[in-house]
Amino acid sequence: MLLEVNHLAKVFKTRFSKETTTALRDIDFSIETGEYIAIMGESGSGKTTLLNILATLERPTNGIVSLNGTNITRIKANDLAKFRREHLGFVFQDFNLLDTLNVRDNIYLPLVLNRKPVQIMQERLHTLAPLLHISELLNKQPFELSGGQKQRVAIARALMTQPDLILGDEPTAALDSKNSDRLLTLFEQINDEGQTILMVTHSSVVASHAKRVLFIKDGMIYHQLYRAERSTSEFNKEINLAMSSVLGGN
Amino acid sequence: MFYLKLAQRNIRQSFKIFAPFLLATVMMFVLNFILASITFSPELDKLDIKSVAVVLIIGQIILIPFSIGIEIYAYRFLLKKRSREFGLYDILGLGKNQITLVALLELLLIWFVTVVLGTIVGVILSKFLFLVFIALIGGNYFNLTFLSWSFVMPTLIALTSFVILAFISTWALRHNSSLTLLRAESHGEREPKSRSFLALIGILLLGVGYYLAITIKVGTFIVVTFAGAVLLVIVGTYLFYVAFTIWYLKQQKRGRRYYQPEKFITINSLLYRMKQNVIGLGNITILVTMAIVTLVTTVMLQAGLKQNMMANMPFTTELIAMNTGETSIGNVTEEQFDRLLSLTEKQTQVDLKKGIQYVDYGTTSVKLTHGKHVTVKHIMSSDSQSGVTNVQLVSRDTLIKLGNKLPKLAPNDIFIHNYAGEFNPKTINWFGQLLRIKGQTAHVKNYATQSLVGNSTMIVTANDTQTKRLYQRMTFDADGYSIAQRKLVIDLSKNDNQNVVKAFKSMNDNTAPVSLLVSDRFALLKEGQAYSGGFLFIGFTLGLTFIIGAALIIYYKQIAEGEQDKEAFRILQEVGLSEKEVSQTINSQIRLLFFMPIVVAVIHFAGAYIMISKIINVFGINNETLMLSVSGGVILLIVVMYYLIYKVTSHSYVKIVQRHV
Ligand SMILES: Nc1ncnc2c1ncn2[C@@H]1O[C@H](COP(=O)(O)OP(=O)(O)O)[C@@H](O)[C@H]1O
Ligand SMILES: [Mg+2]
Repeated sequence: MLLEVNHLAKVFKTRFSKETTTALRDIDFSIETGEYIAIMGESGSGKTTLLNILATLERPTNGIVSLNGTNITRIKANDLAKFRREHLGFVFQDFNLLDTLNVRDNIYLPLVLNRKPVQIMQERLHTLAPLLHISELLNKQPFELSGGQKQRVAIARALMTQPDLILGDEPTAALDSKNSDRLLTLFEQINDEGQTILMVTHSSVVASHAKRVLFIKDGMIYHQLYRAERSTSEFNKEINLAMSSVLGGN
Repeated sequence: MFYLKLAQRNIRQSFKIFAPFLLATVMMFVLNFILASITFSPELDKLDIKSVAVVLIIGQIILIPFSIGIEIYAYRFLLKKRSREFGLYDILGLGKNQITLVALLELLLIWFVTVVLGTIVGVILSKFLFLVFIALIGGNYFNLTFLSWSFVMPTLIALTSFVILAFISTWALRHNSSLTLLRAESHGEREPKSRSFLALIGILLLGVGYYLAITIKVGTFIVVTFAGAVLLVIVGTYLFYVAFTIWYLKQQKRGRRYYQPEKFITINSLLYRMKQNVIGLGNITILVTMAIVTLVTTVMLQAGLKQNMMANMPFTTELIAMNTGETSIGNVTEEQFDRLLSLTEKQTQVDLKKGIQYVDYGTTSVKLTHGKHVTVKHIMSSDSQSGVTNVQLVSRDTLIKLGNKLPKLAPNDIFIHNYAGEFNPKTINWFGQLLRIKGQTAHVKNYATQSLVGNSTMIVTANDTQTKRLYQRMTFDADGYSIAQRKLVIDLSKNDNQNVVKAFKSMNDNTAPVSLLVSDRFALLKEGQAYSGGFLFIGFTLGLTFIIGAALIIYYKQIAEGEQDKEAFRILQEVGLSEKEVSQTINSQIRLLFFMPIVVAVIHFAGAYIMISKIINVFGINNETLMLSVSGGVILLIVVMYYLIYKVTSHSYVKIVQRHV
């Protein structure tokens, strides 16, 4: 088992008021190596919170997250950054590229932080660039790129470290539908090559590209669907059906 | 009025965002106010010293555009932070005109607050500084009085910059759609290109500036030359920073160690912000240089004046009698002088036998030609400026009485002692008398140096009779000579000194027309201190002004960059930069930006060193060791202060940037 999440809960306390928000109540699920999973839920359902905890950017109030048998909620603050850059890759909604670096250096960044030799960076980029169609962009600055291009660069950056798991928080939210489609196809390709991917989204179209969809509501996982051999549009219908039945059932 | 209310409410609600801007405007107002109060103070004339005026004028020339510049900078920073808010207003249906009106009203309110607050702080601060000074110095020649100009000037400067700000804000709001206002993030900059041409011009300007400063001549054009050199160096500094930093960073980027985390991030973020950095670094450098120059000059004047006084007065007390008869050659007789002294002794019960008596022939201004054989035929006028050497005629007897050791001399042989200059011929024809120079004396002690302006030389004659002869040979055709005086020099306690001085001055001797003078080191020191206290006040206030200016820029640089880097460091931490690595990266950025201005400022100061020593030489201060140690001390002090400023402000940067998981 690559990732195991048990009884995960997160309660936010605001500094100035006594009010608390329960973002995650009790989350349980697990992921095998090579899976492509979408976690779906409406806005405010706790998706980002969940992803941030998996990304070790946030500590849970309760529960265990283990990656390859390591309980990542117990990693010491000083070692977190190292853990992140060695085991995880990120693709964010707003791309999170550094304006100060050109595209190539943005992609190199995680390996630079890992103090890897330049040859390795060059080799990996050499194989990734054609796959992601970014070979022409390497010497540009981020502000010269379109949203779709930026996101592909962000994916290249995430893949450079050959992470155990790629985490995506609404990776297509800032893209138009064409670019969004292109990106999701790309994710499928990458996944076919063996990369494990977990993304969260509020869109059924996006989720329908994954092999498995988990539904999150009120801080709990309450349902899941496997895509199996279905096409994305068939899967999309089924996801919508599941959603409305849940909403209707309430 | 609705919009005024809105403006007021905006300021109150987002005070945190407005505060740094208000800080900048008030600070600049206060600095302008203090400078204006000193410049327009009617008491300034009393000091009657040109270089103070020069420093003040240069201070104004620099401070005015600088304060306008920093206010623009601070305002654009504010606008950027508020653009989201303005964008929202636009989308919510408040028209562009109304938004602009609100922004302008905000500016008006802040201008008003700036003037009121700035005046209060300015008056309090300058009075406070002044009182501290009075307390430190004692009496004072200089008195700080506020004329209406001290208020009008900074208000006008503030008005000018606010009008400019109004234009900027109007323009920015017109030329941005609501969407870009809403985002208004970084517009992105391409990596800057190398600028070898600018580098060349920069180095050329610096070179010419330094050349002017080093070869500066005391004279009518000193002010113009000084200002010109300063201007060239300022422009050269900015160009140098543009060219050099880009070159340096590109070099680093090509280097093998480029792909090291701290370097990688630092180099790129510095390159990315080149324009901003260059202006900031340039401003800091200029201000730090000004602070060093001002403080060194001030301290040198103060310390030098005191040293000078000690050199001019090797003994605490000098009792002087001078013939006031028709002739300027005549001299008070030894008998008459002894009579006066013993009367003084009797009256005060102070023993004057320890004192040393001699005739002082003062200083004669002459023109000494170059070459091995020099002829002197005329006395020059005492106010002629160039090429004049001040010659003291002193007998070997007198110097020996004062405790010097000198070999014997034949009647027409002399020694030369140079205070300044390198006068060393074989013979001098002194008004028809040929004198052979037997050598140079390295040190002369206990003899009062008369004047150190320009070249000064002492001629040591064989004996008293010979000195008298040489003095009498002179043709007194211009006023550059002194009347011979008979003198008693003695070290007395403060109390005895007071009694003796008082008694001697009131002596009455009817045998010959004589005027009695005293020189009292205690009184002179006190007076000199009051005089140079005015200087010190001006100098330190100016120095402080420059340092506060630099501190303000550094602070702004830190918070502005903190805002910009916040996002970058968030991303970096998400990608996997640890908190420790974040601190390391931040420190390496700060270090580079910290050292550069200080190093360049010290180099600039070195360039100005000769110019400064020439200017203070005008005041008769000519002490290389003192100048070196004062310079060292001042630089050390400024480095320490600068470091503290950086520590405090970089803390505000780190606070903005650091994110804790
Ligand atoms: N830092 C925080 N402090 C307080 N409440 C938070 C914080 N982050 C998220 N929340 C709250 O937790 C809930 C889940 O938020 P989030 O995980 O962002 O949802 P989603 O990403 O699914 O839209 C929301 O009610 C949100 O207001
Ligand atoms: Mg979210």
